[in-house]
Amino acid sequence: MDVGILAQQLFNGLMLGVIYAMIAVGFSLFFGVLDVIKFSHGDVVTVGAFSSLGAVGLAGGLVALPPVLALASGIAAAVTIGALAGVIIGRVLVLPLRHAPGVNVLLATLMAGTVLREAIRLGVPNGGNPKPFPALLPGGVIKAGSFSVGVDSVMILAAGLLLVLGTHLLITRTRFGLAIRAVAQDGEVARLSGIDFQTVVLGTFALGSALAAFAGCMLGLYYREINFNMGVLLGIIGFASAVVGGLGSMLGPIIGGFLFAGVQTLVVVALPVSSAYKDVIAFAAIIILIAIFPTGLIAERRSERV
Amino acid sequence: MSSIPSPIPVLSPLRMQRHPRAVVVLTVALLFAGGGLMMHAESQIQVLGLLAAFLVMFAIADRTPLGQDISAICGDYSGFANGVAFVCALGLIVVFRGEHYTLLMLATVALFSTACIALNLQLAFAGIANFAGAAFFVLGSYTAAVMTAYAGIPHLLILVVSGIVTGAIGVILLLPVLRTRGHYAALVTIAFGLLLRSLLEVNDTLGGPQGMKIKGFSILGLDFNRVSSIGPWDVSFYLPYAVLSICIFAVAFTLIRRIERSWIGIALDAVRSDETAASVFGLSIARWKVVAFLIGNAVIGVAGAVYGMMNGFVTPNGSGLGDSLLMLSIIVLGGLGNFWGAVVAAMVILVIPEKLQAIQEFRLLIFALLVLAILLFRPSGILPRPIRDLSRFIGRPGAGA
Amino acid sequence: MNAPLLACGGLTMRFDGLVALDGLDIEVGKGETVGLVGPNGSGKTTFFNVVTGLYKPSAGSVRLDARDLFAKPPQMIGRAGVARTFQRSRLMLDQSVFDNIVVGALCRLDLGLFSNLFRRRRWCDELGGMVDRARALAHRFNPVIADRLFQPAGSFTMIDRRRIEICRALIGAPRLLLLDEPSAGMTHDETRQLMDDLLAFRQEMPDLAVILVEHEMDVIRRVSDRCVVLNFGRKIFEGTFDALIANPDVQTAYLGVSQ
Repeated sequence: MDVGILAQQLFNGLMLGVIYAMIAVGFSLFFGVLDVIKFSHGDVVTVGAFSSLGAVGLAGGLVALPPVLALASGIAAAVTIGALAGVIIGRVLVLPLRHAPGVNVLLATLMAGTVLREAIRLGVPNGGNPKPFPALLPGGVIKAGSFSVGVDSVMILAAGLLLVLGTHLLITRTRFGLAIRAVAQDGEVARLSGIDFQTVVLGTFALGSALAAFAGCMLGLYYREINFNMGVLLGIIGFASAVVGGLGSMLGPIIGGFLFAGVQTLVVVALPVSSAYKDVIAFAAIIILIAIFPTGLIAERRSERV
Repeated sequence: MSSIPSPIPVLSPLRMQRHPRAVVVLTVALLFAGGGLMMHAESQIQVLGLLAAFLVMFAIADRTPLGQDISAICGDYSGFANGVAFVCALGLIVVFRGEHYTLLMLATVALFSTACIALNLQLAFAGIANFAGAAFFVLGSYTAAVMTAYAGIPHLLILVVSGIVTGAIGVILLLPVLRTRGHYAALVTIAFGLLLRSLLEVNDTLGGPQGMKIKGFSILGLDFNRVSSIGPWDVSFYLPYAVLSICIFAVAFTLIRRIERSWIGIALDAVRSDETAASVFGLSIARWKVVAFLIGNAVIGVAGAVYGMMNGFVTPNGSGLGDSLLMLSIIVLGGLGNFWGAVVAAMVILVIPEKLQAIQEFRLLIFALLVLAILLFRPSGILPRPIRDLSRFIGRPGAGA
Repeated sequence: MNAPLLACGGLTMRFDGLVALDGLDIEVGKGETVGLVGPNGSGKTTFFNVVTGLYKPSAGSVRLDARDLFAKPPQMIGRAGVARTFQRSRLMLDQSVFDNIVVGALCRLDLGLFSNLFRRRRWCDELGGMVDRARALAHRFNPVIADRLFQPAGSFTMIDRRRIEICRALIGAPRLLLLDEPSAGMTHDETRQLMDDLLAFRQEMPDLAVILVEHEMDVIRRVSDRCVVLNFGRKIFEGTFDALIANPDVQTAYLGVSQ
């Protein structure tokens, strides 16, 4: 096969991997601090994408902003509204239901995701159809032999990688990260040693959701099109990545995200099937990966006391 | 039991105690009459009025001593009440014998209620979250579509095969996640539902997005689609389907109710509420989860096959995550583990959007919010699951469902 | 003592780095009651979890009669005749008392799909028998429980829930019963009552072997034939209660700390 196309696929895989990792980290963080799966997480990605689109549109409608400022306002809106959505879902649904049977939280967050999705579909003008996303990053193409990649794509990838790295450092090196890890280790003990449990939990929800919302923004910039339904697939891929990597760990979901993207890209490259089957393959990959690694690469912490 | 004298003399607690069966018959008949009117109603005012009446009745049953007495009597005579309900359902069919739309509605509610009882078996008893209920339902329809294309196969056999296919696929999905806890089954079923839908949409042998035609049901040479009269009456061709649907519902109801009220039901409850304790007492977690998931999906598949045959076609449209979530909404709203609760909720969720065009577009949003409210404020649902009181079976053999 | 009922040899359990059980040898004969004591974290509950198969031990052997139960799945061990209670009550609070108790005997009942669904007459007979047994058992511990057999377990007090749990463990006619701190959360008198009931019941099952984890030394003294003391997952003493009290090692490890 042509090296250029191979490199192109590798780049696509990396891009997918970083986006999946950004979403998976959230799942893992939430599971870490509260032992819950928050299924509305995928739709927070969509909320992020639509918020930035809205902000860019709104700002552009009022004053002719240079692309850099439009981009900044878009990112700011995505991160703020995404984090807010995460905190509200955490405060109103997840915390009150934390002692209910696990399936109630699952259902509640799925329904919350449905509410977000439907609100976007019904609330955004013509929201049921795909929406074009403006190109806000500098154009230009980097060429190396038969491999060519847009400067904007490289910037998006770099931003994603930096954010994943930054989150990792935040969790492992800062006081806030220490508090998160303490709560994840044992919420009761953390509370007794003076950590404000609720603040840490909601902070974690804000952090994970902001990351996911930023991923939504990146998706818009990369694919130039967003759609109210995009969060469903991303959510379950993110969750599957977190599960395969190891729920509750920090590195696991990142590895899981890249692993998942790798498998998906590999199958598309290696198997001679039409691109119409892309989603089918993604879903089949989820089921097969879960079947192979039902408890994750980095084993899930067993917290149950008998 | 309350001793407050009722303002209505006929309904004094004493008289009700003396004629419990009469109370049951009147209550069930009243509920079915209301349900029938709801399905038949055409103007939005009527629908809203009936909805308000239902809410008032619910409030009475839930909050007043009189209503609680009546509920208790219906609970004590549940076997009798179920029999009365079956007769009332057939009665509705007789009353609406010529009305295509009402009968279609009735059959649809019966078939979705069947599927929801099966979901109850999986979620409320065994604790397996099946987020692909609609996918299994549609899978049943597709199985029927493929098989009715061959003329020689008896249609009753097609229903059985549809059940076997959906049941088997469900077990294959469940096996890898059996060793793990709750949320993985949820993930796998969500992925399966989405996989099935995209596969059906891109696969041309199964008709792609347009779906497939399905031949009508026929048994013993009676083609349901050609029925136009019974004796002196002109009837809708939906009538035999409505009867069939009610019968399927009755069979599934009896089957799953018996599972609940047997050693298996207790085993399922034990497995759901505490896997550790259940396994210490010698119960195989995997075995019971597989049994519940298998039977549940098989029942959903059969209901889906009948639904497909009644409609004459099937498309990938009904198999999405939204539809599966609607099914779960039905059982959460109705009350996890309460079968009649599921029927009431199925009426609300299936019929009301059809009647109130204004909310059709918003139905997913409205029901999602409704489920959130239920989960937060009344997690046991509209009709909470009654405690399993096996004392009624001691020395009363034959008293099934 | 002839061949012991339960024989554990060199039982070792490691949780990444932490050694919870360290080459433990414990034998229990038919009809014997062994009191298992030791400070918090000395491995008593871990020992129960290993014997019942909830934890997979790292090394050693577990035999019930001649049957190898080492690292077998919990349901197999449960069927072999090992029953237990838990430190924290684990009942189905929404289900009836009868449902909870009968869980302990389910694996000995006919769980076939066909016989449960279609042979209802036979099933009702079986049910009648089980209800009688559950009622008789519950009556022994508290007549009130027997009278309210079909009310939710959650409507009972803590001590009654514990009694229900013991009934659940006994109804399957186990050969070995593991009691994990039955006195937790109870007053002195309540504990005494519970132990008296248990001792009385024991007369009817002379072959039943019991291992009792308990902090209340009074309880241990009254019911156990023999005591085993654990510390850091190792057996540091084995013998009668009087010898236990006199033993200096035990005093430094356990009693010395608490007194």
